[in-house]
Amino acid sequence: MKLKLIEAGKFSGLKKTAEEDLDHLPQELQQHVENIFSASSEQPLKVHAQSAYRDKEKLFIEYNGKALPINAVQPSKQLEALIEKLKSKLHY
Amino acid sequence: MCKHQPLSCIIPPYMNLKLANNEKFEKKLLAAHVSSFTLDAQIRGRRKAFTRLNPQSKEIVALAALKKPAKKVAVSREVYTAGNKQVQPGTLVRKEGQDVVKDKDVNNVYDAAGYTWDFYYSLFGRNSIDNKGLKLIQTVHYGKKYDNAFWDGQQMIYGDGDGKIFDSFTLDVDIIGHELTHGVVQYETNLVYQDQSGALNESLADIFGSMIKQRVLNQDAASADWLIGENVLRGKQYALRSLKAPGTAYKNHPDLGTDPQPAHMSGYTNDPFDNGGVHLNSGITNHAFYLACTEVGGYSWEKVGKVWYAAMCDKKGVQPTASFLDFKNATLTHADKLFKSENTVSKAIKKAWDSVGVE
Repeated sequence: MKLKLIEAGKFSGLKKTAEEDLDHLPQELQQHVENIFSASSEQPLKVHAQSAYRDKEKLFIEYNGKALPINAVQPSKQLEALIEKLKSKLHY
Repeated sequence: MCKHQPLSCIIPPYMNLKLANNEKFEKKLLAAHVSSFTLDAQIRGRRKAFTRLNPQSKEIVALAALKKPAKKVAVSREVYTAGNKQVQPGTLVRKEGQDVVKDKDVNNVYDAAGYTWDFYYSLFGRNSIDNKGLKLIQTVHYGKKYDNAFWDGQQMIYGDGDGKIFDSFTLDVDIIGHELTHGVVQYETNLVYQDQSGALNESLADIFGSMIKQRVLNQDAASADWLIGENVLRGKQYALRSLKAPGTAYKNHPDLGTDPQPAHMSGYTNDPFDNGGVHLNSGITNHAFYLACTEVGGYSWEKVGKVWYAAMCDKKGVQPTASFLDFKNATLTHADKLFKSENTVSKAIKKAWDSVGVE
């Protein structure tokens, strides 16, 4: 299963993405991602509605067809490292 | 930092707010707490703090401002460089009245902020973003190859772009006008950055950004290109958005594909990754403005622009969560008020809104 990092909402309104296949990564990390997304509610995604940062980009992670804003996730050290790796690979 | 008023640094903001809003205090004591609270709040954003004060305390702050000798109404700009780090404001490079510097990006945003200030002041009598002479603070060279520009609630920030797809975000006056207009919206209707009110927020930033560019170039509605960011997005045939024809700003771009903006309510999109599609659905209201301007003719800011400005500042008619229809109604109200004798303006505006499906 793949984990996708999405950078969206910036001035241009365009998205950047990068993804990584979790299958070859440690089981512990796979389980952590699984837990994050199974615990999240099914409510529609709404983030930063009150933010004063107009045009600022926002980051999301998507897994198994479900996306979460990155600031709503408590990442483990492994997931943090993976997100950092994905950030360096973001592309349009 | 805490040299002058250590108390304001020790007492947490919520406690200062409570003290500043205490109606039982005598005016003198209350004034001291208000002063303490507002000083502390300068660090976190003066506007946010002011809105949280009760009317009595607001009056004290306002009275204190009145006691100051009246300053000459004039633009006040400061441009900083982040030196390709993610810091703000960074190092001051050029401030009001200083000569041009070697750094082109600094000069670009300095000039564009001046055009923007002049646009709002000479056409609408507005003294800066807050209408109280707020200093225009801008930071360039933010981050490394950062392909974005944004308004953070207090200042503008611009990246250099990656050099491949995007050039520096300081290259287009409409982008700088766009970001500064987010500031104006924040001080006026303060439209929530989500769904239709968020798309209106984006649209107003584009519309005023475009008008500022048209005024700098002395273009009327018929001769203007109505494009946003044509220099920032590399490639002569590309721009970031088109008010004239949303969905056509770039076509078959090798990296970006085709501009996805709708021009009509039938194409309204709810993009959860973009606060409900604020950068997409703004195409609909952008296009309504374009249609009204070309129908009326002349310079966009002379008639339809005036109506849009009045609506943007109408806190009663346009609530923070306003819909497209609310904004349409506000423009019709203000068109009647401003151009009673010229009912062609109202008619053109109504026709434009109807044409994009906001009925």
